[in-house]
This record gives sequence, C-alpha cells and structure tokens, in this order.
Amino acid sequence: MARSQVLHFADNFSATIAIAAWRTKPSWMIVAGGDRTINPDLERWYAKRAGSHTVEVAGASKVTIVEPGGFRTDFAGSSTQLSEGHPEYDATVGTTARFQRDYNGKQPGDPKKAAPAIVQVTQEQKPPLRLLLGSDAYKRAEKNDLARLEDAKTWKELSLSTDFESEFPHPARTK
Amino acid sequence: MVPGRKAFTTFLSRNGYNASIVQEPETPFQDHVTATTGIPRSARRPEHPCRAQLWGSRNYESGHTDPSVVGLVYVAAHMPDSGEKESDDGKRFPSDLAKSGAIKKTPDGFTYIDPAQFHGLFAADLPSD
Repeated sequence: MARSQVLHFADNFSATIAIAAWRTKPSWMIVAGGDRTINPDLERWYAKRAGSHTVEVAGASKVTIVEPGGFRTDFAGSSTQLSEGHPEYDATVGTTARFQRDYNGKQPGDPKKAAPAIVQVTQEQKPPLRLLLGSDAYKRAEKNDLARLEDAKTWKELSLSTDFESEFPHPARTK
Repeated sequence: MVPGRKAFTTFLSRNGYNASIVQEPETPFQDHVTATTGIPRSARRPEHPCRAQLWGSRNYESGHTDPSVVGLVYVAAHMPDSGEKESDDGKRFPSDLAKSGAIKKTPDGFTYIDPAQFHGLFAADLPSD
C-alpha cells in the first residue's frame, strides 16, 4: 500500500479556495474518530461551522475476544499426545489425560457453526468485547459471573462505606 | 462522483445511483476543478460529490456553481471556507501525520508519506500488506 501511494502536488495544500461550495449547498461530514491524517477534532470543527449533517464513525479497528467452550476440532484427539505419566501423578495428570481422551468427540460445539458466528460479529457495528461460543462456555461464564455478583452483593455495604459521603457506617479503625 | 472509493461506488450503483469515480490529476489545483466539472453533466441523476482522501476540489470549490450538484459529502475530509487554505486549517488541530514528520517532498514539488510510517499513519485499520 505504501508503495502504491499517489504523490500529491505540494502546492495544492496551500491553494486558496475562491468559493467554498458548502456555503451554498447542503453538506454531510463523516468524521473518522481514529483519523491520524486529519485530526478528528478538525473534522468536527469544520462540520459544526458548516452546519453539516454529521455522522461519526469510531476508530475502525474493533476487538472481539472469542471465548469458546469445547468444540470437536480433534484438538484433544490425534493432534494431542496423551501420556498417563508417573503413577505418583495419577490423581492429577492421569485424571486429566483420561478426561481429555474420553471427552474427545463428545464436545457440544460444532466447529462448522463456530466459524460463521465469528464472521457475523465482524460485520456488526457494535461487536461484543467478548463472544461466548457454545452452551458449555455460556453456562460456565454465567455461573462464574453470578457467583461474583452474589459476593459483591453480600459485601455491598462495606464496599459503599468508604466514600467521603456514605449512608453506610464505616468500620471503626482497629487499634 | 467519488474520487477513489471503489467499494462505496459499487454500493451506490447497487442502490440505483449513477456513480462515477474520478481520479483528479495530481497537478495544480485548478486542473482538478477542470477535470471534475464535466462529470455530472453526463450523469442522469443529481449528484452528491464525495470528497474522499483524495483532493476535493469539486467539493471545495466547483460544486458551488454547478446546478447539478445537490449536496456535498465530506468523508473524513478538509472543509475549508472561501479564502482559506487547507494547510492553514490543518494548524487549528494538528494531526498525528503533521506531527510525525513523515511527510516527505520530492525535488519537483510532490509530497508523499514516508513508506516506513505509511501504514500506521494512513491505514492503521487495514492489513499491513
């Protein structure tokens, strides 16, 4: 892309505009929120001055973290070498290895359904920061977040008591 | 009339608009005005010229006098007033590009962005190739 850039005639940057067309015609401004070539604040300033209909597009790059559950990708099958390990570690290493061997092929997730789901969020204006895939992933996240919320609720009064102005009593300092 | 922006032009065509792509000459400003003025006369519908990253002479100036121009669309663009220069307006809110020192100039008076810094400054949201 850098190699195909078209060179600009330098003097054009300082050409004086005789008649600004936006003075007499309705105008629209699409502000690129992440623009590094023209400061987005300048684009907003122009649009305000001209009374343009304005559409703001946030920075073009968006991030989504895909959090999948188990999918039948053969990740845990022929693509993994499983070893029972030493008998001393049977309770941990052995158990994990056996679980993986038994679980392979029984994961709830279908990889052929995962791919279009990921493609779908790339087409969204407001994609999620995190996308759970699979019922197992969803249930685990839900359970985890509900447990965290329960914990927070249990200690809510103490949490809120540390503001300068708080309706909840702050525990007296222990000596 | 859309300078560059093929995808946008395809979208407009699919939705029933008569869209043209103009590559303005990368030569003095008045050439742009001359080059783009003839386009709407050959178009059947009223046009919204669209000033993209390329020179927007049409939007800046010549759209004023042409009756077939019914509106102006500025896509992340400069929008100078009568008597102003784009370079002066840029100083109101300097861009990352202006501050980077990446704008280089050839001996015969053409500017370009240092290829090593081009991707980060001009197309950071696109794949680097």
